[in-house]
Amino acid sequence: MIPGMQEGGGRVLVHPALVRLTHWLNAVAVLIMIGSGWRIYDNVPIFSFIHFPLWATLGGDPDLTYARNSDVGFSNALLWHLAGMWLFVVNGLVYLIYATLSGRLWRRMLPIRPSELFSTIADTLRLKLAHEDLTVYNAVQKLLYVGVIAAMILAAISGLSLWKPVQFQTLIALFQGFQGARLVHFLCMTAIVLFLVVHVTLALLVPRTLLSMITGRARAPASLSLEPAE
Amino acid sequence: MRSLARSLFRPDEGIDQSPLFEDKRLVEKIERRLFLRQGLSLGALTLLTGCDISNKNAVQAVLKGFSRWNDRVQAWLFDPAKLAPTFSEADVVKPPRFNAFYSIDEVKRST
Repeated sequence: MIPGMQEGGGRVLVHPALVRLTHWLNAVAVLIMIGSGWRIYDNVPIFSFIHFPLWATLGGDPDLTYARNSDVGFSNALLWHLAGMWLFVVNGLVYLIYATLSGRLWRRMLPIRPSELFSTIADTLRLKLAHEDLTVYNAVQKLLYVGVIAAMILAAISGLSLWKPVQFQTLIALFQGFQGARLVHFLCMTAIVLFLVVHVTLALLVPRTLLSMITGRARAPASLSLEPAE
Repeated sequence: MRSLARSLFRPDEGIDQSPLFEDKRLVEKIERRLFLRQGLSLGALTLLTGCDISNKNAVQAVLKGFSRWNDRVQAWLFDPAKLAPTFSEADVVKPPRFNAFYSIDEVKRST
């Protein structure tokens, strides 16, 4: 925020406390899941040409764990993954229940109109990033947020079937077998990582959005009328 | 220490905010520079990847706690009537799947 700018009146609540809390807890959970998931993946890669560097993964010091368990931290990464999943799922459910019951999910994320989508993409390509009013999302934002929520739900469902493939064998069958479930789980991770890259870059380019996810507040749309017309 | 006395030159009605809006582009440019500064702290954050938290005893205790909790959940999920699916011989992959990041020929070579 610009120092000395007046508070009160011109600022509105954009993110309720529960949304902010679940957002940051989810950020921690997702990083744990990706970090440990990458090391689990490395143990038995799906694609021979995709291998995650050890430094980017979570699961303890490779040399130490090798001496202890004769693996480079695969079992430790599994411990992380199966602990992190509780934070990810419980926190995600709290958010989804809140956002559904309060109507926030439908109000802020829907409807996504194709015409709006194209005009926003065209504006973005012309470097006209419109982030003036943080109380509404544009069509691209809506699509990305709905998409990443869907990817996270699918990651959780496919992950559940991978955790207990015998008890959830109907789910496994739905994914065309254990390897199919792995592939779906991997593609969900890819979608989430791609979202993260865009999301973090944009949050840093427009720091106001980052601040509003901490303080919960942003400039009210009405105070924008003070701006000179372009 | 800074004096608590109010400056004589300070206007009564507070500081004029209008330049913030009139020179919006300039202000945004400054914000963009702040972004660069924030990029620095982000870069500093990557140094943290060298820190390893997994081998701390407290972390291991939490992970073990979750592992015990998972044992209870899977005991609850377990259905003795549900058997593991069986596969036909056609479903067997050759070479068989095994837990390693290397291929089967490398196994042969190393023995």
